[in-house]
Amino acid sequence: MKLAKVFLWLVVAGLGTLAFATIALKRGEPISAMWLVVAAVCTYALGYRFYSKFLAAKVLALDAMRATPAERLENGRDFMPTNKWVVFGHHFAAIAGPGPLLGPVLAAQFGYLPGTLWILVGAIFAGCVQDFVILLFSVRRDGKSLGQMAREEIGKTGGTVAFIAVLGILIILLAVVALVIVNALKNSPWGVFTIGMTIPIALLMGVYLRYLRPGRVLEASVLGFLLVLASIFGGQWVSQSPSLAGVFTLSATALAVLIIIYGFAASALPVWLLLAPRDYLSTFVKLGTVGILAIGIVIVRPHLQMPALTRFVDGTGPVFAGNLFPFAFITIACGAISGFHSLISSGTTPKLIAREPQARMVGYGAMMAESFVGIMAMIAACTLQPGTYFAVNSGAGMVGGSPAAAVATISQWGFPVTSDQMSTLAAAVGEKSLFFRTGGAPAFALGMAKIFSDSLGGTAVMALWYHFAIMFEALFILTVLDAGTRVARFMLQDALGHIWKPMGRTSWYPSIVTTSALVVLAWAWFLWQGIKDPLGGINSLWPLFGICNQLLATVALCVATTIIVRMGRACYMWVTLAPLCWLLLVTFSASWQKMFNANPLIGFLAHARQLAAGPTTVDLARRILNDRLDAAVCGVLMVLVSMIVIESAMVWVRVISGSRAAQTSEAPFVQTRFAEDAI
Amino acid sequence: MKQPGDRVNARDRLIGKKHPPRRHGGAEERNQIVTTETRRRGESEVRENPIDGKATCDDPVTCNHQITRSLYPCHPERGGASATARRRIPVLPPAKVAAPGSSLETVSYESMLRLRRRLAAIWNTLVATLREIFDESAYERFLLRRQTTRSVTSYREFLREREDETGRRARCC
Repeated sequence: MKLAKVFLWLVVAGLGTLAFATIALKRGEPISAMWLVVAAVCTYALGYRFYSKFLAAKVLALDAMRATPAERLENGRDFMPTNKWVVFGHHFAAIAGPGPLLGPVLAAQFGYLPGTLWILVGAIFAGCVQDFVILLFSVRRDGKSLGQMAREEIGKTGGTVAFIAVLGILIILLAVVALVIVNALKNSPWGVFTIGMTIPIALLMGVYLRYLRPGRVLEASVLGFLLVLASIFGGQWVSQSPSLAGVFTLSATALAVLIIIYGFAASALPVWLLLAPRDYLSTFVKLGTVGILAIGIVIVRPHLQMPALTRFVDGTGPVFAGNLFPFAFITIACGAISGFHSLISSGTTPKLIAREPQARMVGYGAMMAESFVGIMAMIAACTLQPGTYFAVNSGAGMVGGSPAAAVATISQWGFPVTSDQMSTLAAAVGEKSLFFRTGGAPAFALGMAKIFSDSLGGTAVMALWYHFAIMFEALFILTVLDAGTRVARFMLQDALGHIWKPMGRTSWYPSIVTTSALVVLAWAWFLWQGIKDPLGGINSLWPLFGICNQLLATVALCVATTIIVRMGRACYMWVTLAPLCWLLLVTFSASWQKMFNANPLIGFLAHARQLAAGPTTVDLARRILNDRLDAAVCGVLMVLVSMIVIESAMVWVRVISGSRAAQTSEAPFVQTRFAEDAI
Repeated sequence: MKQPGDRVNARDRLIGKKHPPRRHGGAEERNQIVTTETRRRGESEVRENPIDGKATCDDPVTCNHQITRSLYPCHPERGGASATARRRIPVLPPAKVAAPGSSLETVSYESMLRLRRRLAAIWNTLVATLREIFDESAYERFLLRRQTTRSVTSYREFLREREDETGRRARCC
């Protein structure tokens, strides 16, 4: 039996190696996407079976005898011991967002190889470890948040810095996701109508749940989903109607204004009316679509048209400028490791874990699933013809300003594409033009529509699939937008409450309006800057978002390493220290380059200098200010994270040298009432 | 209770706790199933040797593994007494020696039953997951806690109670 198991794992390892060899070594001809799937599945299997088991047994010493907070503090409300599969689903639904869909699509400009390798290796050795470790440490501290753990384990400065960093990161994140949605919907009456309709549908769901069928959320979500599907068909009709098409054809500026108003309304309106129903609807669509996409890829087994490596590894990429190192790692972000997950892992999930050993499956396993979503996004992007991919994803300022110039430039790079091809494709998906749709969402939707239409319905229904994909992403993104704005509002209210108490009252309307407005204005500033940027906005904002996200992961890994050291297990601190060092290297070099690189396409300050030296325009002063502000944001975040790292390192040194006791602030051990089962 | 061959958790190792071996019902139950099955078919049967007390049987082909189980009741692989083995599907004799008709019918009925049970378990977990994600379970817990029934008023109270938490719940990027 044991031999059979060894043989089985050897087969898995061999298969994985073969898949990796094919992905890495095959050049000059398209390879099947199934190689990526096989490599991913084998890597996850080996990582889960061996590395996560090592972490669970040696580093964290998961204890089935210890009662979790869900058991000890069970109140039927927040703390509730729950079936591990249910917690897994709940956790996955919370961590899965638009990041792993968009990041890999953008990083595909380097070819499929670097992104795929980082998504797999990064997830196994960094992302999954972070989620697992933070989840367990939160479980052992009665479900405390990352900020609270930072304060208790590192010090007061660490806690305060973590709070500021999270707030700053939220603002940048909201601006970037808003920009993605603007770029996906501009001049698209079909998309605007469909997404616009999700707002009254969510309101209807809210009323349905509150007054007609109280608490029947699944039922309301199914109804909402059917209405959304109807609105996709309605969108087709609207886009073909000469009178209505004009009404729903909106410029980037108009869309940005509408999204800013929406963000404010969602933050200030009661949760039950808009935020909660939209969240339910988004989750429903998200879980279904991710599943369908996985099945579609396995059925169609598409070939990857993008080469393994492109010429843009040298940093001259049109999607975003910057070398493979560090920008590929910054761009992929959530598919490999996401700082945001540490907020979820120290939020609702630890309060549901029934027994400690389940943290492995929930923390480590759910991140593997998220990473697989990233692999699917990479496949979707790389199934497009490279010429099409670059025509869709490049900003006008990067490839020549007009479709004709863009086609010539991209073909010159060795990725042939013609205007006719682009027009035919645009007509097939019901759009007027697909040029300069930066942000990754339209490219992902195109890839997804191609996979779906190849497996079901053919090109006749490609337009429906494309708009279904756009709706799916937009729903995702708007949920992040409204929930994020609200979370940032609460954080701001908490902080201002220390200065003037009434501001801290979350139900006091002047406080709600003021803080909502402040948060919305903050991200609207960056959004506006993005839509006015001739390079497409994504070039400057996505790396900024990636840096923020990875810096948050750095904070989480600092907390994790400190706790491991204080547990008296310093010999195992490398499990979090190694990814921490890598992330520090990546984020700091990316931040430094974004600030001081002499290339104006990369460095904010160099770009500001270039603008200052160029011809005077109406908004010149504002654009220069924006660049300087972006550079300042990078710098401030670097300083904040450096402070946390230094403070953490001091704790490590003190504990290891023996000048400080190796003690943690874990909740005292209480034996579980499931002890018999545990044994 | 732990069995020899089971993994010892870290805490047990730390406190040096030892678990006395215990005979699980799994192997016995399984043997019983097989014995009942074979008895019903009137072929061969495991029984205790009156001289040395060891298991023996009439047909060496069908009973080989049964004897092994009887001899090693606590061995995880041979006797199948571990927790994993308890969950393992009972091993039935090879079809070639089974009496025509009945055994195959039983196998198919039992495997159908097992499949149905597994599918039902998967379905129930899926529904429970969706109900948790979509807060339906939370509402039911609320009703239970407040000893009240599903109504517009109770749902409003539930939403009010959760408003702060829902509003603070971050959505990942």
